[in-house]
Amino acid sequence: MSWRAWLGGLFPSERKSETSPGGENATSQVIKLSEHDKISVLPLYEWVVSNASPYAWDRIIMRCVNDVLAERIQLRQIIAPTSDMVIPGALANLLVSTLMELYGIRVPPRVVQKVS
Amino acid sequence: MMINFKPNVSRGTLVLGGEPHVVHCHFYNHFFQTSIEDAARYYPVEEVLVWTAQEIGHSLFRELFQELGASDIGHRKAVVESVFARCGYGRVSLEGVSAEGGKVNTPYEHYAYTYAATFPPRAPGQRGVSYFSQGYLAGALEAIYDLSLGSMGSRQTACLSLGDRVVEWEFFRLGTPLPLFFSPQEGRYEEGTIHQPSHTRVPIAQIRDAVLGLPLLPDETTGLIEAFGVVLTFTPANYYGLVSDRHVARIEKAVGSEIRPVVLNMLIESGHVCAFNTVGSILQSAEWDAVVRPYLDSSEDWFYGLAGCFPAIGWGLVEYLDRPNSEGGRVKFINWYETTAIAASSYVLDHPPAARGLLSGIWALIYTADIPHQRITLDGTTYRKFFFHKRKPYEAYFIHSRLGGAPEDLLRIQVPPLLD
Repeated sequence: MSWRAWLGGLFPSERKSETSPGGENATSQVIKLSEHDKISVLPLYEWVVSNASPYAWDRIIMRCVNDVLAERIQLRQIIAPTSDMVIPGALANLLVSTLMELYGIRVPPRVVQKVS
Repeated sequence: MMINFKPNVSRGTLVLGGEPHVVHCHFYNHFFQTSIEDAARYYPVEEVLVWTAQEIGHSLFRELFQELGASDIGHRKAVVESVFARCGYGRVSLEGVSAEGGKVNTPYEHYAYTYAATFPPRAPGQRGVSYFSQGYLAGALEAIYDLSLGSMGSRQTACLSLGDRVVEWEFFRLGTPLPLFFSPQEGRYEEGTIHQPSHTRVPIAQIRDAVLGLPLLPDETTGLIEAFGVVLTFTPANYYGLVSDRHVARIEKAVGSEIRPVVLNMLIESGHVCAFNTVGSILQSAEWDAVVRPYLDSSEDWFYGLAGCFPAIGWGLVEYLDRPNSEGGRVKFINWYETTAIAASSYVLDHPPAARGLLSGIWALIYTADIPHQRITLDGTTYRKFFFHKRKPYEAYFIHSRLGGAPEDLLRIQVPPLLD
């Protein structure tokens, strides 16, 4: 039934295909970033809202508020990130793992862009 | 036992035991509840989700027992069991509980049943999903035994969502009562009349009456209301409004006011989910085709059809101050249920958030998804396509709200600027 498919997108699910809803195979690589890496957050944000759920980003941030604030990042900045915003690799790891926890979806490596 | 809601057409409410009730579906119920649960690491969310239901259950049944002249315990228990099913929460038996408490279990409860029908079990260590019923029944037990508000403690001890075969709650008397408040019942209500524009032949009041006559009744066995392809509940309106406001207050206290936009986004999104699923299902139902569609000459007319449905499902009255069109419009709410509940207590919100998501979602259904001219599949893919892909099709904000001190709730819906 369609309502089951819909609700399935809201919660963690072991049944989920490891292929993203956008059809990209994101299975094989688990992204691990070092704390020294800097990550451009906008591509990650755009991928999440397009492929997980329109408000998946807000749910992720809600779960990680203390970690975001600990990095001295203002919530209003990370809620609607701009193209020049970067975050530490450790925080990116946390956001990606929270996405996995909430939606059972892995982010394709190309989405997590390191900046030099 | 026959349990009937009393429609109050000038308020657009469905009243039972002094409590206005609103119809929502399990999509909204789950999304709304999950939005609150996501904050569990910042404050004990049971104190909002369970306690608010307890306050309302207590007030509702004290009032209803008085109305029905139900003075003996057996009669009161039968009333609670019947109301529980009539509202679509499921089936329970209170036979095994006393003034000291006891256990109640059932294989049929709205939140747990729809969750278990959809997902694998929740992770070990999590609690069950039946917060509302837990608090509601605790309040009902207080009313049955003439106990003071907050004197009955509760916990959920089994849940279909955890892989158990039943939902089970344990109720027990507390030495120190919980710090609860009586429900505001009909709250800061407003009254008005159906606004019938002269430029449409959609008979709004007639549609309201037809929808009021729809037999949205629970299944005999399960006590669940399956209709329009969704699972419905008649839930006390105050629950949604008070939970929203208390959630914002609690999480801001724990994290800081900077969190408010995130919280509001989730509550607004609950409104989108409601529009897409509850309203989307209604707009594609056989009942809509039979009762409303013969009067619809344009996409604009679909808004007037919905204006007839709103008061019949307890959502108050709406008046379109501009003729709705693809660019947006202004909507005046009369007795919008969130506002009416929140305004009757001390509160932190300055507008009712779900209304924003609901109305922008309705605009997206009618103009972006073009539901007047094509049937759409109500699934996640369609949701992303029509509700958010690079840009939100519509956004809504309150020009002013009763919660902000204005005399009315006035909402503007518009096409937002493109995102980067």
